[in-house]
Amino acid sequence: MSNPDRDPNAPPPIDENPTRDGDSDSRTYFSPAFTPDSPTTLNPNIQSLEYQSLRQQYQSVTRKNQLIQTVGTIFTVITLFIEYFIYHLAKRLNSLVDRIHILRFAGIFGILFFISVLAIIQLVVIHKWNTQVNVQTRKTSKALNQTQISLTRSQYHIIEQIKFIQFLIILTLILSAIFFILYRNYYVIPINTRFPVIFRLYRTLLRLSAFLCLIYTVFEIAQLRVWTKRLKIINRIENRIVEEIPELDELTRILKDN
Amino acid sequence: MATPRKYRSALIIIQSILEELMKSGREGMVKTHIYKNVGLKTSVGEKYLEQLEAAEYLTITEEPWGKERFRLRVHITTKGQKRFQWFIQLSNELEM
Repeated sequence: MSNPDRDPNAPPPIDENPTRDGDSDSRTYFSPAFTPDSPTTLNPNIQSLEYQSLRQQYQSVTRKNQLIQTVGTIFTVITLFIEYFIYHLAKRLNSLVDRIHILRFAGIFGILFFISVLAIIQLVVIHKWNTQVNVQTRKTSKALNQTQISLTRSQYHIIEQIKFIQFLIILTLILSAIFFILYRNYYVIPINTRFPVIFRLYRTLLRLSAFLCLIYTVFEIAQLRVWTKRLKIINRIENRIVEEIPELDELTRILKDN
Repeated sequence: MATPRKYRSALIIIQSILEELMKSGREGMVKTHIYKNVGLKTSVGEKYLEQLEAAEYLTITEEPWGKERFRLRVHITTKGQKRFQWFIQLSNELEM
């Protein structure tokens, strides 16, 4: 005789005295042990094609974000190293005679250092978001019934971080502006041109560091636009749901009570 | 206008319910499985499903189970699907 507890394809049990579930619906009988038919019901890891494609698109977005941020972080770190090298070249050219010039170099180095730190923090936040989506997928495919993908959880995880990311970007933009103001003073430094090769290298590196910093600044402005747009979309959909579900106050309250 | 942030905890539950239904596709889902997957008490889940049904995000149909028993199966509506897809959409990167 087939046991419906064990055989997922077994027909629903026929009982002359059905048990009623008073908690939910008087005509409804729920028993987690008896869960026949639908493959999605039996195995939560079998998902509809629509959901799968949505998940894949979401994953590609998180991966793309991480890639963009990684490239941006590499740019800032390279700029920092170039700056360090420029300082040594300027020293070699005997141009750092004045204390003010040394302070300028130190200031620019400090600013680039902070920009790099901010870029790394942003990368960590985005990496966590990306990992959350992808680790869930790996776990789900490895261990059935253990972990389920929740795009909602991932989405809310990043929503909570959007304000923080925006703050980091704005801070980066302010620091970049200070960098460019100070950068203009590089050319004021009295350079000893007795070493033409080193001098040319010095000028080239100067331009390169400014170029990399400029690219990163443009990239950050673009990112700020993207995150602001995302926040707007999220607010719009949440507002729409609030309008469509008038008793949301009560739903929130019963969650707190339980 | 009410601030959505105030209702965030409820909105997370709503989106989680819609996500579970999206996963199940046309098959729909038995009520208790939704509660289990989202981690809701039956009494709380009932309230949520009631509100979501009123908002036309989902439909609840009764299906026979066995000789005399019935159970309730929940299906997501096109409106519910749109709400979830819109929520998951990041900028215009996810074209729906």
